[in-house]
Amino acid sequence: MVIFSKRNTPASLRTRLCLTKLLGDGADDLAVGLLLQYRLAALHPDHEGDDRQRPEGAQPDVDRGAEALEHVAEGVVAKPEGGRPHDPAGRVEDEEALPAHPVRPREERGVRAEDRDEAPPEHDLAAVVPEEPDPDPQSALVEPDPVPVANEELRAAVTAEREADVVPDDRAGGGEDDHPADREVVCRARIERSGDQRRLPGHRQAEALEQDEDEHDGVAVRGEPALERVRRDEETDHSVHTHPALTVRGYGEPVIEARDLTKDYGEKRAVDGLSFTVQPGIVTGFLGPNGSGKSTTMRLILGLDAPTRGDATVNGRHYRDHPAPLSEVGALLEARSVHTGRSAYNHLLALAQTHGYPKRRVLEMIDLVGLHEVARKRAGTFSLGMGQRLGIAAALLGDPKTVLLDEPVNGLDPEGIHWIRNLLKGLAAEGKTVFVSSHLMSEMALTADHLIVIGRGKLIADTSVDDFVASASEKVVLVRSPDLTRLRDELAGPGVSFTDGERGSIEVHGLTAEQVGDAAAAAGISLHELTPQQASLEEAFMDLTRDEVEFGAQPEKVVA
Amino acid sequence: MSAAAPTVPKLEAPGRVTFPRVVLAEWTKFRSVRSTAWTLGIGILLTTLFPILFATVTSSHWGQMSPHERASRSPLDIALAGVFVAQLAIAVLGVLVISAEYSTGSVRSTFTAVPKRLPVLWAKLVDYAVVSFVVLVPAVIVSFFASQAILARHDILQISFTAPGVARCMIGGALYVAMVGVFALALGAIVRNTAGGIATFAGIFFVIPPLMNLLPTSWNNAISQYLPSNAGQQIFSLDHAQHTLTPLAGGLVLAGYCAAAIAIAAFLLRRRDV
Repeated sequence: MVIFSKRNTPASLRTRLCLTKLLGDGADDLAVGLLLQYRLAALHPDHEGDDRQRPEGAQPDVDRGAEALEHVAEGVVAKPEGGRPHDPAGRVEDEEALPAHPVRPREERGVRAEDRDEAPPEHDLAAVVPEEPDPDPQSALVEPDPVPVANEELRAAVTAEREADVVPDDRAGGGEDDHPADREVVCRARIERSGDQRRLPGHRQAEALEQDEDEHDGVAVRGEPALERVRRDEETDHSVHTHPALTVRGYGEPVIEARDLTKDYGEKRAVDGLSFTVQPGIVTGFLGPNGSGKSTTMRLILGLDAPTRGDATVNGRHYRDHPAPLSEVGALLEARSVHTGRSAYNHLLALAQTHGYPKRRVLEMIDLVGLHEVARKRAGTFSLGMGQRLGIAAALLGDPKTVLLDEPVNGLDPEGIHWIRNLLKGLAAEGKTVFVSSHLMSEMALTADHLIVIGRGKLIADTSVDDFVASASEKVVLVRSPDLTRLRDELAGPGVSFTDGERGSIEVHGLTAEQVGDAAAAAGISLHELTPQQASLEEAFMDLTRDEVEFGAQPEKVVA
Repeated sequence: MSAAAPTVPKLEAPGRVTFPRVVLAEWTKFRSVRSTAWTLGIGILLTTLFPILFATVTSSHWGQMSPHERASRSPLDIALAGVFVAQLAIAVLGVLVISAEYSTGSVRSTFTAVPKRLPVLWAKLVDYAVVSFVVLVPAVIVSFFASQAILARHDILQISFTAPGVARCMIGGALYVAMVGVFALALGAIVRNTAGGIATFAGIFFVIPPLMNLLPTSWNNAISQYLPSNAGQQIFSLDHAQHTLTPLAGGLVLAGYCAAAIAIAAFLLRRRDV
């Protein structure tokens, strides 16, 4: 995520709020997650603790909701055919991005516009916390998409607004995500949703606002565990459900084991002495810049490529030695591993027949990924997203104990991305081994519990997501004060630098919140805000892989 | 793929990869792409169309032909003329059966399902050889009777299906095409590229044989009969000419080429990355 890099800066918060409004009903659990993130942050400052001790699996959903939104935002500001001036930097900082967001003018936002800056974020969010669509898979298969038909007039208005406010996006190395057709689809979906949001009756917004205020107070006073509250709330509100498969997580015996895995392609060493293990019951993210060897490693695990040196086993055996490979490992490799002239049904049928699975299984998978309408069409006519769904159907065909997915969210619309996240978490909760690669840290942060980070084929980090962020964080404190000039002078010193925030705030680099607070007190400067900042995952990732980026320009720090 | 939380339905049994299952799977793949129907259809069309064409032309020009020319006409050559043309279409299909897996990327799915790989090659060969043979036999027989019917006015060009060697030539014609296709399939597995596979096949079967005429005759006579095309064509030759192999020997030589190509393909298939 290049646009929003600080988790809790007012700017990014504001952006998220705008996005929440924009996304409206469709934002569903993203907004819920965002809301809960703040509740939990208030209750448990270290709530992102050890995965093993998580009482409920819902938590990762919750505490990463904000990034979900961030991720979605990436697509929102991007519309390639906008014809707008090209941004040579290829990235937009919070402050610049904000006005460009295709949200309604401030005055249109009604009651929330006035107190937007002052009110705690929950208020705004609560107003748009939507009903989550029914997650029951059975009904999901037969019922149409929960997004209702938007008011045409409003939709047109939003479309016009959007088109006037599109910011071109030119992220370096994002080639795989830049499929114009898919982006178009994504944008359209969002516009429809913003149309829906506008139709949310005012009284419902007010109700939601009130209700959430109550809840917020309740949490603060009683200290009731947030997750229990969430559960209870969900019981009373039948439109909100938790994932049925979420259970206690835990590490087990390693399932995937790579030992000194090395692969040369001619002169080039794609994978270099890689050793790692992947445990069942959690989602393990496999992260690295483009060209860092993620796909090669996955092919080595599957035996599609033979390692130059070293070894990779699944469940103690080489993949090729399993009698029923598809029930052992389900793999999604590069987006297209399908004959373009063959229908989705026949592709899956042929795979099923190698293992003697019944035809019924193929139909189940087609229903699962929602391809029933195009199952008989040739796979060559599929969009990127449909091809990805077909690949996922193939991966799940054998009800595998281990799932190996290479960039599964590529080309999927927000709903599909959300679906994948839940799927992965659900599989992990069932005790399966989930190994999923991405070059997007923000995506991994939402989904993964554990991270294996590689760069130029070498292991950079093998750590939990939380440790990863903590280790890469630098000391940054957001300070808001009426007398910033004097404060700067007081704080200035070796190793200390400042970044201007918005509305009378600065970010102080190189000092802890305690140091800043003490210095301000000593100088008699009043502070209106003093917030330690956590480095964003994306920053942490870029810091770690700075020297390991294979292609493209030397990455700059997104927000200094 | 709705936003609802997905649950993967359970599978009753994990299944197991067996060779008959791989053959069935490859059959599904074989029949489910358009190129199969197209190339087989064109193959059948050429097999029957050319004998009908030649028979018609021969029949209409019979009166203007010299006795020597008339004597050189063989009813069986006319009946099997299509085989020479059809072999190209069938060979293209053979190359495509495997090269399309590489060009589309479906080979990764294939080898993920059957990571031992070799069963896939055997299954493809079985499916392909059986289908092309089964399709070609009736085509060749139809073309025989059709050309005979057209040439009915010319007694000298009449030959009975039960005459010695005729039935063998009919089956042999289909067998030849199937074997040529198997050879092309192996080439496709070696080259892993549609254009390259077809070009290699055409080079071996259509370019090299005429070049042999540039060699000294003694060399040509010694070498040409062992070329896969010339050797294989003896399977459906009624008369045994000089400097040619017997039908059995010719068939075995072609089979030897096929076996060698398959062995190289299998070796490379096991070793190479996909």
